[in-house]
Amino acid sequence: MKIETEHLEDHQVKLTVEVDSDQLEASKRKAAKKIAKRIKVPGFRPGKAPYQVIRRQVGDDALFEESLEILVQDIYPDIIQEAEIEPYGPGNFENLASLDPLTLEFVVPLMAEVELSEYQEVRFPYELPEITDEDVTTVEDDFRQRQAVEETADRPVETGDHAYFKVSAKRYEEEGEAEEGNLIEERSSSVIVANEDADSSMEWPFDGFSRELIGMSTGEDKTLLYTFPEDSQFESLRDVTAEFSIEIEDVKARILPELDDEFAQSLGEYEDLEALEKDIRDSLEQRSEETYNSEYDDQVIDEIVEGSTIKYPPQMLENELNNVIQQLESRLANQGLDMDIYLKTREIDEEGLREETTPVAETRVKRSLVLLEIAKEEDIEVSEVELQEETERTLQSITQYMSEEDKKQFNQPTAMMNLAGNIYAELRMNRTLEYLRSVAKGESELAVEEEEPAEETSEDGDEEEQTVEMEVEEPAEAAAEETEEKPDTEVEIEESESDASESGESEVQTVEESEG
Amino acid sequence: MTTLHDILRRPIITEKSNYQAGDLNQYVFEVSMDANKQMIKDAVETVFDVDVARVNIVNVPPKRSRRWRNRRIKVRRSAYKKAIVTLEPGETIDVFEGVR
Repeated sequence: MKIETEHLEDHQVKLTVEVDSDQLEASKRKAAKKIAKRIKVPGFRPGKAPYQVIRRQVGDDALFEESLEILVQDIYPDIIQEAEIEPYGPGNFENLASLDPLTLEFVVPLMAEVELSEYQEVRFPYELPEITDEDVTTVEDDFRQRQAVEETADRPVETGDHAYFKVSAKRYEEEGEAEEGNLIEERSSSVIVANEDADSSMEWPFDGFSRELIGMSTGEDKTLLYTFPEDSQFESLRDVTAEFSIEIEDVKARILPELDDEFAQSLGEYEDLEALEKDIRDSLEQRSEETYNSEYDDQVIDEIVEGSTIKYPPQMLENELNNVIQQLESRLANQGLDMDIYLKTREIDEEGLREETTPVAETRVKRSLVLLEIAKEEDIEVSEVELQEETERTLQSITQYMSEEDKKQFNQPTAMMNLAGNIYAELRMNRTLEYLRSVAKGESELAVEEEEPAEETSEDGDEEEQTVEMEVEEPAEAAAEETEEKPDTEVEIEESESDASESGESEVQTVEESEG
Repeated sequence: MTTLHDILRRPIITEKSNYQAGDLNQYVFEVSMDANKQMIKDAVETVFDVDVARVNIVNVPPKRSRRWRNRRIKVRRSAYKKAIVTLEPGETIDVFEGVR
C-alpha cells in the first residue's frame, strides 16, 4: 500500500492510495461471500456458492463494485494511521484514479489546527462599571412608585399625579368635515403625569400626552391638535393631525412611601433600609459584572482570534452552521413560529439564511477552537466530582417543572451522558474564560512563569466559586482523597482545595504533597 | 454417430459437485444417453488433456412435478445420464474455463 498525501487549501488532505492486488483479491472474496447470501444460484444453498461460481453468475463488474466498497471500509483506518493525519470527520472517497494498479483517492478533513497568538500577552484594562448611589436610588424610586398610595386631590393636575380622563379623537380636517374620521371613540383612561425630562414614549394616545394635562382640574375639558410624527410606530397614523377632546374625570395625588426601614420591611425580608440598599446594590453589581465580563471576554477572545492562525476544514463550519440554524429554529419554536414562516417573512430561502449565518458560525467556530486550544495548553480541566455535582444541580433545576413521564425519559443514560458532556464542555469553557480574563487583567503573570497554570484559575477563585462551585467544602475533601490515586487530576483538585483553604500558600503545599 | 465432443453435454455445477471437485478430485458431467464409461473416459482425456482414473455413471430418472402454485400444469424433467469422473491424483479440470 503506497500512500501519497497532498494538503489542500481548505485544510483537507487528499490521499492517493495504491492498493495491493492481494488486498483487492481478499476484498473481492469477501464481496462474493456477501453477494452469495443475496442471490440464488441453482445447485447451491443460499450463501454456499463458491467464489468462482458467484463471479460467473454476477459478472466481474458487479463484483468489483461491491468489493471496492468493502475494500474502502477495510483499509480506511489503516490509511489514516499510515498517513499520520488526524481526521476531523469521515473522509470522502473521491474517485478511482486507475484500475491497474488500483489507485484510490480520498479527501479527508483534518482536525482543526490552532496556532495561538501570544494570548498571555493580551491585556485589556478591566474597568468594572461602578454602581453609584444614583443607580440605587433609581431602583428605590421605582419600588416606591409601585408602592404608592393614591388619594383624590381637589386641585389641578400636577406632575406625578395620576389623572383619570375621558378622551376622544378624530381626524382633523381644515374645512371641518371631520365626521367620518373618528380615530378614538370616547373612552376613559388614566395616566401618570410624567416628569418633564422622563421618557414618555410609552404614553397613550401619543408621546408626551400627560404633559398636556397639567393645570387642568376635575371636570375641565380641553381640545387640542396633535400631529403624529413621521416615524410614529403606528403606520396608519404617521403624519396625521388629530383633534383630541379631553375631559378630566378625576385627579389623584400619588403619595410615595417614605424611604425608611418600614418601607424596606414592606418589600420583603429586609431588616432595615440599609439591608435593602445593600441588596439592591449587590444585585446591580452582580448584573453589571456579568454583562461587563461577557463583553470583556468577547474583547479578549476576539483579540486572540485575531492574532491566531486557525485552520479548520469546511465540514466544521458546516456543522456549526447547522447548530446555529438549529438554535434559531428552537428559538422560533419557543415563539410558536416555524422555520418556513420565518423564512417567508424574511423573504429569503434556506440557502440565503445559511449564507447569512455563515460569518456568525465562522466566528463561533474560531472562538471555540481558540478556547479549546487554550484549555488544552493550560491543562484546564474539570474534575469528575465537580462535574457530577454540577450535573445533578442542573438536572434538579430542569426536572423541577417536568411531568413524571418526562422525568423518566430524561433519566435515561444517553440523555444523562449528553447532559454531562454538555456541562463538562461548558464548565471547561467557563474556566478557560476565567483564566483568560485573569490573564488579560494582568493578575496572574507570576503564576504563568511558574508553569503552574492551574493556579491562575484558582487565584480568581472568588468569581469561580459563585459561578461554578457553590458548595465546595465537601467535594474538596473528597477530591483531596482522590489525589493520591490519580495524579492526573491534580489540577482540578487544587482548585477546589484552594477554594476551601482560601490561601495561596497552602495551595502550593497541597500540590507538593500530592505530587510526593 | 456421436462424436467425441457430443458425449460431454455440460459440467454439472452444484454444491455437491463442487465438493467432489475440491476434495475428491471428481468432476461431474451430464453426458449423452448412449455414452458408456470407456467413451466418457476417452472424451475427458482428449478434451481436457488429463488422465482419468475411474468413471462412474448414474442414470438420473425423469421427474415430474407440479408447477409452483398451479396444480394442473405438470412439469417434467427428462432423464439424463450423469458421469462422475475421477481423475488421477494431482490433475485438475477448470470447469469454468470451458473446453480447451
